[in-house]
Amino acid sequence: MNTFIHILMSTTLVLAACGGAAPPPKAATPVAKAGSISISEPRVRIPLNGRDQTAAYLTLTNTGTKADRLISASSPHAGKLELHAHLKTADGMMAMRQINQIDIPAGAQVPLTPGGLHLMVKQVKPGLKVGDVLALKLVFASGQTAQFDAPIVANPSADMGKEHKGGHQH
Amino acid sequence: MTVSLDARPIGSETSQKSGRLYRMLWRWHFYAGLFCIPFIIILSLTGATYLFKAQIEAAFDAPYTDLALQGPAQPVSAQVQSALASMEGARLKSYRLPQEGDDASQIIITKDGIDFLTYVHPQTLAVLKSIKTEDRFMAIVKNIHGELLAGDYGSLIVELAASWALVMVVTGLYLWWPRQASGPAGILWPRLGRGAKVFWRDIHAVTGIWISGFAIFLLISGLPWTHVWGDGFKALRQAIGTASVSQDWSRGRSSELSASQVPLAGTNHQHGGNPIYTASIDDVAAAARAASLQPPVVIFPPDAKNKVWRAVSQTQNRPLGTSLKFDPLDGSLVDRQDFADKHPIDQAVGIGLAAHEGQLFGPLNQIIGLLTALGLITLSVSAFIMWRKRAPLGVLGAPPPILEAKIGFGLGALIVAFGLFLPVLGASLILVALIERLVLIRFPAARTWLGLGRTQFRKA
Repeated sequence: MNTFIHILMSTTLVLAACGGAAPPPKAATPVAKAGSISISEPRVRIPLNGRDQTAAYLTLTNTGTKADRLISASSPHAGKLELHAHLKTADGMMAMRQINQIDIPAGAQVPLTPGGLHLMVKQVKPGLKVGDVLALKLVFASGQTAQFDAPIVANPSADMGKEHKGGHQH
Repeated sequence: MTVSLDARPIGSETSQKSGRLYRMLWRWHFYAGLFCIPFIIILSLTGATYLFKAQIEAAFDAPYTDLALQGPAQPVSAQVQSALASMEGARLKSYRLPQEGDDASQIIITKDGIDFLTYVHPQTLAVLKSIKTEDRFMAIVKNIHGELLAGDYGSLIVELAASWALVMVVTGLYLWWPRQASGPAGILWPRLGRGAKVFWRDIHAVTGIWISGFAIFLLISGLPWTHVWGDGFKALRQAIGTASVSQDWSRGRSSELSASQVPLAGTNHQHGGNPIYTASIDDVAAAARAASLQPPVVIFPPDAKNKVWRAVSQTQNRPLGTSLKFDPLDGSLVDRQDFADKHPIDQAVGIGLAAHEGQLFGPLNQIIGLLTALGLITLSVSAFIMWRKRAPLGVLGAPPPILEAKIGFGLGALIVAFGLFLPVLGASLILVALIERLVLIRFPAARTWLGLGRTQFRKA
């Protein structure tokens, strides 16, 4: 009986996958390309509390058949950019670590987001506001580079509409 | 009253008993049909339309795709801000991942419990269109199909009609069963050259036999959406402990509305150290996009009920659906639920709902659904024509009452089983019996008109 149900379920799933599967939403339109790597959705958080450092996020999509690696990043408006990752330490805690490269396997979409990989932007020029852009340059192991503008975005506390802001009065 | 009963009369050799049963079930079929036909037509028309929801919505959305972009798209957060700025005091309810980079983003904002679908140009951030979600064409079609635009009462009527429609199919199959046929004509295909009465009878019976299986499937697979059956099913599952944390179908708009009115919780307090930056919709959208889920993929911000970001594939082909949860602080993926992770009962219901909506196995599923809907309309129309052709003047035209009708144990048990499985049917049976005995007994003229016989009751 269980075998029968199993076969029935698998058949249904195969049927569903063959007949009814649709293409998933496409990666966002790239802002730049470096060989087979597309860069999309770049964004830089507005620095917190007047600090001179912040984080940049973006999505790397490898449309080619060979893996590539992001090996460095820079900006004319910042002293230094570092590649960072959140890694699990020996005691199981998440900690932020500088890394040497970000792998982009063939066909993969690698999103850089707050909980994972990101670019740490140090000594960023002061006075940035939402809507400004920060010029970025990425260098890949393939030797290709990409240059593009990343818009400055607000931090989520200001992102959720007026009601929400009210909740932050002290 | 002389009525030619049927093109296929009961033979003299058939026992009196089965002749009585035939006529009794014919009467059930008649009265049930009288009530059901308008609703079957409404449900068939709206259902046939809803089968093509994806195609129809794509046509409605066509003006908001293939947009001209002069430069890169703005971040999702800026698009959401633009939507929120278009309505004072609105909150973000959901953001749908656009299928293509030059599609307008579809952002649902909510204010005072009313949801608005807002189309935002991804580059200029112009709000291209804003419409109450419940005013969308497919939402109206769904509302008619599920609750006749009349909320929970409408849902109850739909459930009542669907329950009686099941009785119709079962009694119809009994009436169709070939007892004296000399060949498949009139059984599997209609006899065309034998006059209008035979023609309409055959159209009705033959259409019925071809679609009865599909009709039973549609009627039963739709039950989880209903008011009494659906809620009872949910309560039963909670009672026996097979309910999963969430079910991915909601019954009726009232339950959807209450879910949307839960306010946003404060999730963005800065906390010392890690992570420095709290996840925003930009990050969750990027992560959800990379997960390559089946469209439409809709992102929901944390709220009081779900304290996480969620990216949900709302594909109607539920076996391919996936739901992701992201940490409200750093946006990391904390949970992924695929169809295979669901409870087997939810899987079975999900497969049923997907097939009901014509979305389980591609265009063939839609075609089967469409043919079934057209068949149900054919049944309704041919039934109406047969009734009007046969009904004598001055009375309803029900099949004549049976004197000394007795319901045997088998049939009685079947009726009780139906009434228990379909509680709305059971309740309506009791109600009809009460009305007949308490009210109609005082109005002989009404009894005659309804074809109920003088004082003869069905003995249950």
